[in-house]
Amino acid sequence: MSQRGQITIAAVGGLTAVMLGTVVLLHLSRIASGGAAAQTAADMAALAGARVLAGDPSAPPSAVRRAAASSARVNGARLTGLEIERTGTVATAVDVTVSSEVDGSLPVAGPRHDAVVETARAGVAYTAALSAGAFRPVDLHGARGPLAAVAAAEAQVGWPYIWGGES
Amino acid sequence: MNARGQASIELVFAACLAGLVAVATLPLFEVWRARTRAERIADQAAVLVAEGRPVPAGVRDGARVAVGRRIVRVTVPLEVAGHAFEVSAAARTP
Repeated sequence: MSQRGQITIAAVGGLTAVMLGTVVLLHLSRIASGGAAAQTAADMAALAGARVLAGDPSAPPSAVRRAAASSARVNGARLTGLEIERTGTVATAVDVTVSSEVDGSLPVAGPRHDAVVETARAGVAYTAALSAGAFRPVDLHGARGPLAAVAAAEAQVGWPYIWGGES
Repeated sequence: MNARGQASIELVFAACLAGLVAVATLPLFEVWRARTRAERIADQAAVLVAEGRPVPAGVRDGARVAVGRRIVRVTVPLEVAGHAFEVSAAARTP
């Protein structure tokens, strides 16, 4: 057998392997990129759900799900799971799971549709805005008798007195 | 012609060709790295914007962050083979 051409065959094989490896790596990079986009979608969906609950603590789960699904959709993913964590009846966090499809084609495996699944969690914070002239609530938990009266009075220092108003 | 010499020449040529292919694919991975960075920054910036907080310089990390109504766009400058490119990513806030 002639030795001429043997290295050429090896070179073609090596180059083919390099090209195949490059295509596989590019597809993997697309999956990684899809994962980053899905994570963004999950974060935004969880925040959207938490925002609904922060605005209305009695909002039904369907409204929370609707907001989260919409936010996931505009970021290119699909909401596949949502759970509202509660302490008693008060919602404290929203957990979401989203899925994103990554399409591609590999030389040997053919067309591929890889699903990337990401999760996110957003805590729900409640704030109460009081108007400047509103009565200031005070936590008298643990205070008794004169101590409670002093604490309640201290909390109202600087509060404008309104003639005819109630306090 | 000596067959062993021919094989050596082909080996050197094949090695050079494989090296060229490897070097040619490097810019693709540079672009991928920049895109991943842009997406990571967009994700972090979008979370901050959705929470009503400013985007600190540490998060921007040399990228341009444009905050619009319900969208955060991040552009990462990139130089490949002496040419300036830009890679961008966006996240839509709730």
